[in-house]
Amino acid sequence: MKALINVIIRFHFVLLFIVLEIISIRMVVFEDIEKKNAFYSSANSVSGFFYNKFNTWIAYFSLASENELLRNENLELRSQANIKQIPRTTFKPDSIILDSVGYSYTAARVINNSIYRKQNYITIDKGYLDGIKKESGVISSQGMVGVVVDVSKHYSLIVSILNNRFGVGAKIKKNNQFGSVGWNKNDYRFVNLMEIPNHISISKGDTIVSNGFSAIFPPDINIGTISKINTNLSNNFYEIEVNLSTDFKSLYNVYVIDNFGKAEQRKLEKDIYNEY
Amino acid sequence: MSINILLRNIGRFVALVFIQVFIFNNIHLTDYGIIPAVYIIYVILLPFETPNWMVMVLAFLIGFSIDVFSDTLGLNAAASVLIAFVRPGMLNLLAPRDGYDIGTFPRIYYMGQLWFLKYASALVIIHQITYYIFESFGLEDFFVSLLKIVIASFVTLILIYFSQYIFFRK
Repeated sequence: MKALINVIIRFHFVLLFIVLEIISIRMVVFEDIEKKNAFYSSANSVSGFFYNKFNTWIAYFSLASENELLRNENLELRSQANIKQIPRTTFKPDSIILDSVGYSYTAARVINNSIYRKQNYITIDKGYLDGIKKESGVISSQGMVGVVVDVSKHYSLIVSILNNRFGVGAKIKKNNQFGSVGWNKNDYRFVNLMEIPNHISISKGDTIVSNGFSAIFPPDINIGTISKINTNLSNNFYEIEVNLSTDFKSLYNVYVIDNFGKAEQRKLEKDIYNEY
Repeated sequence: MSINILLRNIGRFVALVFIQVFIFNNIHLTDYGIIPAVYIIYVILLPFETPNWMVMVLAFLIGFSIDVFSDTLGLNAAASVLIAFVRPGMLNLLAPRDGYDIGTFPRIYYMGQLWFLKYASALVIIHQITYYIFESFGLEDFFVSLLKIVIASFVTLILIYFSQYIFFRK
């Protein structure tokens, strides 16, 4: 015992180094998006508070462009509302209830955002007191943004699509072929669409939207348009580059989506997994 | 270490975390969005007589604080702990023939430009190499990482150098 204590005293510097370095590297390597804790992130109450304050100052500089975006969104919603009115008067489908009532939206502001790292996260100024739940989808007026990974009282941490450990289900709008979207570039404007087999006909400019399987995003949320297509002869899948519709560099107003049917879908899927 | 120096170091800790997070984290150099890691000046400027273990604990704490604010859990902490480990050896290597005088600090004012540049650049470069290797998990795109390391180290070093004439004159 005495010898052990002597060794610890003698090599305390090296031992301390090893312990602290292992703690740090563990945090880097075993970072698990599903187990991400808001307390150790920019969404905790202290850093959230300061980011929020800081943001209220610098938000003034982007007011004009932000107004422009919101006006465009209003315009789009107005034209959609006009179109939707026609079928409702002619027939009354029951299933439309699920579509219009199944999701609720909460408006939030981005208070911290990174786009240049390999794992990018976003912090918003709404937390569980505002009804934000884990695993809710986040969109902007332009398209998909990310998924809430953890919530604190007043803030939430969102894993952005621009994170190389995160993927999301997607489909090609014109022919409903589904694949998955993931980010492994260093460029905040592009993501990759994977798992689209070679025999499907696609072309540049095709729109990619969410497929709605995961219960996190409703179907048909905009992701982007195809900007580059490579044919990979070794595995019969395309390598597709998608130009994101959301401009992550100027992200400010976002909406958090809560799906009322999510718990039920999850439970059903889990039961089936357990049975087979 | 007198109470005065202790208080000053605590204040510098808080100030540097805020400056790094709210100013330098918003500076994105080149298309790769390189962020200068100015906060490591904290580890560099700790007094000569600070116990080595304390340098390491402080380096871990400042790295971890930056990580929490910028959602890079563990990255800055790992790099900072490594430079705290290298620091005593580096100070020994660069020590004047009759050791460091009592009442002096590792700054240009006391040690001269050449000494400071050697000392600071070694720590900055080691820090940036560790940071970018851990960030990309090895060297998947070697030349991109190398370019990032070179630019980031250079800019960080320049900022630290000028801080010696603006904030840490004595």
